[in-house]
Amino acid sequence: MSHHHHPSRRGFLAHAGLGLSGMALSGLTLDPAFGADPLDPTVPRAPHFAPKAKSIIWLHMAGAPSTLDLFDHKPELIRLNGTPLPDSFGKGLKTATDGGVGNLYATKRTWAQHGETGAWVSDWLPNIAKQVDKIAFLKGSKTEGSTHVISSLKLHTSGLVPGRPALGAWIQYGLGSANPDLPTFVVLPTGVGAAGGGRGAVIWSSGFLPAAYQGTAFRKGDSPILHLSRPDGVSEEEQRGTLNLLRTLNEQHAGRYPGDTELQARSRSYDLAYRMQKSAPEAVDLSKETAATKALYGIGTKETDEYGTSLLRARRLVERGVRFVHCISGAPDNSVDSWDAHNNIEKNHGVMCKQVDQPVAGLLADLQARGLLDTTLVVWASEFGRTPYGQTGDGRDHNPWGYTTWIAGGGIKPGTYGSTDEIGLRAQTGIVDTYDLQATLLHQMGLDHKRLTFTHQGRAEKATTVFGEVIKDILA
Amino acid sequence: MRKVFVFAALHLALLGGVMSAQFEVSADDMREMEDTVRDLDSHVALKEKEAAAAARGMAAYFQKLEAHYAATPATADAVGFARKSHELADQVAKAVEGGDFEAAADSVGQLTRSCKTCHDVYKNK
Repeated sequence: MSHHHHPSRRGFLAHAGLGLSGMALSGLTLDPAFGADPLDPTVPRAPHFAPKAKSIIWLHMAGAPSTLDLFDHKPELIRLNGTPLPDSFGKGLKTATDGGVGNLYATKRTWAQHGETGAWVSDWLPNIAKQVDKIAFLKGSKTEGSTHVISSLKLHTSGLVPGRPALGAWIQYGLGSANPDLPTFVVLPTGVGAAGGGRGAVIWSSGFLPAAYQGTAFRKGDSPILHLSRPDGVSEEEQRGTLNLLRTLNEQHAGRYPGDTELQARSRSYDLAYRMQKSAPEAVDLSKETAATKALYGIGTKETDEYGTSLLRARRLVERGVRFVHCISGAPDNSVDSWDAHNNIEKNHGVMCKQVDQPVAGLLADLQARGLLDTTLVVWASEFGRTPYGQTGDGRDHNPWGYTTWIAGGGIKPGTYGSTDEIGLRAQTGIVDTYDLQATLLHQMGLDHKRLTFTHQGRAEKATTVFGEVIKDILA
Repeated sequence: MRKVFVFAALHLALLGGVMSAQFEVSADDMREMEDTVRDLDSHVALKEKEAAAAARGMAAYFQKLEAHYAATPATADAVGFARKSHELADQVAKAVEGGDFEAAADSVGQLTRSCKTCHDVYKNK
């Protein structure tokens, strides 16, 4: 499956002004595996091979939690608490990021192993602890960069600078849509802090892919997309007539600018918005959900209400065929900013864990109860982890060298894979880079990361750039 | 005739030695290689014959890198990384020349992993 930007007969015809579908094909030659119109995000397309999963719910823990305080139990760090970072651990690392290297800082949590898999989870996540037998913990995760922006870009787009497509955009490009009445790639920001946007639209961008593949950010509340409802006093017939006129004018304009995918995306968005007037509000309307389901997600409880609402919406969206739901965790109130605990990690993670623990556990349980977990990948991901050495006395700095990511469902085998060193500074075994994580998720969705290409500026680009390897050990 | 041959061989050996001694691992060269491997990956994905030249260029670079590290103390495992990368780049070139782009793609994957493994050890992070 690939697109090539070479001049073609279709391109010539499009330049000659033969309509919107011709315009869409301008400059492209098509792999027969693709549907009729490669720029139409509303049609389904065949995967490379039989998929295990249909959808991904991407739990983006923006700001970067300390997995040393959540999943990665390190007795040696507790033993060495308050001592300087031994040279043997820090050798070769450029350690100072936002602050200096403080003494080793032990977790204050209590720990236990849970479930049949015996996974370690701290007392900050008592509800997720009950779901560990659904989860594959990738404890040798690593990345590059030590600033939120750069590492967020890498996590989501495999690039260190803006301009590349997010994973959700690649999935939409590869598989098209399973429901033409809803966006295929939805973003659900939550919270009050800047991190609720997870560093902005660049992390859900379509990059160099056609603009129609970008994520669609849903607002909080009952009206997920601004101005979606038909204005009072305008009949459906009048609205359809207006849209038809607009489409005709856009087609004429597009004939003069056949390479303008932004225009193409805008034109398609009018049609999609028209269809979404009914489908989107229904998809996010929780009024028909039972009280028990809402309680499962923590809806109705102050600390978990908003995040739980977001995750229940995510479940409803994947039920309706949305392929990629990007849930971004912002802060629940102004008492903290995000997971970015450079200081007072006890307060920060206390608040943030309380916000996500019940909803995430509820999501896993609910997906399983509805038979959706087998076909839905739930991913806990952050731009990096946090250091075993302290910062400002009671916080932790950014740690791109070793942390925990996890995946549940979608044909993934539960258990613990990989490890960090004895103090949790660096990934040591089962090392998983963000490229490998993306390659594995694409694989479970039926896409081969080496064959999913889009030619941009003369080069065949891939979701994971030149890197990435499927983590075969965690495939069920 | 034999004397001419021996002279030429000695000259080439000396020249090779001098070139090896002059070779330095520069950040610019590494960036150039990163760019080349992206070109190589793209050529292989698009099944373009230009992949062979890109692979041969990388093989030549890694050969020099191997010689450089062999002459540098305390970088013993870097010799191994460079040798492996050299061999893999050769494999890519041969696979492309034989028209087997699937094998070439596998070897490119191994090559990029080899680059990354070496950088994990030797690149300051």
